[in-house]
Amino acid sequence: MLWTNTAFELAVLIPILITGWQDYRTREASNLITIPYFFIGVGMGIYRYHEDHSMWYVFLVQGLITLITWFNGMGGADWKMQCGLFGLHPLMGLVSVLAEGIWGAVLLLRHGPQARFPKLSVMALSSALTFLIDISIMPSIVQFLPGRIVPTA
Amino acid sequence: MTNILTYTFTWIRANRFTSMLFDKRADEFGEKAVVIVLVVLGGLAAFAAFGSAVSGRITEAAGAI
Repeated sequence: MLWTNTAFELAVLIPILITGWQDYRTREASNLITIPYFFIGVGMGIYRYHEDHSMWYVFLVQGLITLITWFNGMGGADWKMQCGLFGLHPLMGLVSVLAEGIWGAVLLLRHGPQARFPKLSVMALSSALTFLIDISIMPSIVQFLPGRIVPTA
Repeated sequence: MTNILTYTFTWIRANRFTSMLFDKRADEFGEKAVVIVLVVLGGLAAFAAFGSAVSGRITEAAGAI
């Protein structure tokens, strides 16, 4: 993995970690971070689509999340960070949506429908985990496990 | 000038998009998170299944025009 990729992922991750901490402490996130993150993420989504048309799903998910938020399905800070994350790093975005769903399901089963959780904190945790797996040597090791097809070239 | 500013701020407060943009709330109900993940995955699956057919029709229509 190139160091430029790692630097980019760190730049994507740091604002999420900050807002995750804010959300954990106060259940709110600062607009100074979330609004620029949203616009940079949407711009990056457009750039990604321009470079590679198979990235259409970034727009689809951003649109779906916006629609859900429009009908009060999500807090504003969650919406901005989620849209931004999908544009900046689609894998982290998908992993964070899945993690939030699992967290929500466990919370629903254990504490009932009125239980709330700091969503940006879950997003920060899952994104940090994705980043750690990405920079670790795990993918290289998994490739050489028995039963895997190893490319010869 | 005051009227313009008052009108602008009233519009910002009344507009749904700007109220979403300036909203700082970040906590979430568990059930909503479950619904969101289902909607996102369902949307992705539907578009992966039928997206090429839809975009093909759009390209055809654009070609016809």
